[in-house]
Amino acid sequence: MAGAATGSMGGRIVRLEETDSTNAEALRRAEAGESGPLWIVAARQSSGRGRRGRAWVSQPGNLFASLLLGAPVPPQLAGQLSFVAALALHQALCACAPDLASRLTLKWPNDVLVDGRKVSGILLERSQTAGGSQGENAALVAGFGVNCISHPVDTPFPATDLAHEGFAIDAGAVFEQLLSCFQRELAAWDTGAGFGAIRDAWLARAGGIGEEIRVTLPNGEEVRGIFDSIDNDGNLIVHVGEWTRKRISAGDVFFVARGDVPERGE
Amino acid sequence: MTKTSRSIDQDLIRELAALLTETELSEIEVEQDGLRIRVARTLTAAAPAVAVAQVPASAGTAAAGAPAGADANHHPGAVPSPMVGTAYVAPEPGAPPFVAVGSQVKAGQTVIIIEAMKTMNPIPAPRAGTVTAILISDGQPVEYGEPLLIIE
Repeated sequence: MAGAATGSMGGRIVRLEETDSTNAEALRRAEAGESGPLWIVAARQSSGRGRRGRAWVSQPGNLFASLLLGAPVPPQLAGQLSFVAALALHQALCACAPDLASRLTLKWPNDVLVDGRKVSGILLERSQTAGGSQGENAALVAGFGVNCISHPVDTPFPATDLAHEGFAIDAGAVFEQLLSCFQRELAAWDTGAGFGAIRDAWLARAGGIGEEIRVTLPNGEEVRGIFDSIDNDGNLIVHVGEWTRKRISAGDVFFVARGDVPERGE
Repeated sequence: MTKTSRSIDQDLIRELAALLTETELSEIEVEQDGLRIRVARTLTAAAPAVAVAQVPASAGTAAAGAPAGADANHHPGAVPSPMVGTAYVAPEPGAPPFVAVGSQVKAGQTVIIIEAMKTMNPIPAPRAGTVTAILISDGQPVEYGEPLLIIE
């Protein structure tokens, strides 16, 4: 049953039986004049989406939720929200299952992994209905997909789900925690003023720092090097030579030593 | 700029421009002695967007047919990037581009998407007009303030 309610944190929550994509629905509502904070939660997505037109496999029983943010975010700070969102989800999962905490790591920029396997996906999108000459006031949504009871196979990066890892946590329970954790982390982020602490917390939970990674870039290029850090905007910093560091704003990260590289020579 | 580095630039740009044409690539970027040079051309355009580049006299005709992005900074129709990120000319790989050279655009219409850390930011046309040059290739990293395209 679809329904709307006011969340304990002031934002509204709209629960839908099915939608195409919770991000798309949140953006449509923003374009129709609704303001955030507004959560869209769906039991099913008919065309869940990931980066660059990739599909997000959306089986019922998993969590699909998007938050339409209530305040504008300047373009140069929008990328920082990925880390705020990833930290919030990490905390939500820890709150749901304290025993899971030691097995969770974060992968740049916003994946949560269980024992190195991807259990969630986060995608942030801004409305194409321009607000301001550079889109600086355009609506922004943060979409979360969490694999609670199923996960796709044959993904480029290994995937898993909470039930498969021995944790029976339903989507509703994850959402209840995510609601308060994201609210808290957004307040701590303070439109960028608090990013230093967010960055530190993210780095403390990140997997593979100091290890060799491979990053496939959107233009098809591949970068191999040592995962060094993230910079003050959240860009991935990779050591590609003794004196050379590369800054990356978009790409898919694979951990070389853990055998995540499909075409590795063996 | 010293005379020495200027002559190096000329040779390099001439070489890159030739390579660009020969290989039919859309863009070549090199870094040498702390200087980064990018030579790009617009593949969708029937003719290279020569008009865009106000090539300095020192570079002569070397870069003709392969305008360097930096010169577009001063073009009154340049649309600068509001952020550091990775620019896309189409909503997804394989899809038709948002705009091409010659496209008429309305103010507010999405012309580029810039991704930073899995956050997708559509960049609107700041004014109505005609796209006369697209200065970036799909999936290219862009800096804050870097010109993305020219709308006249």
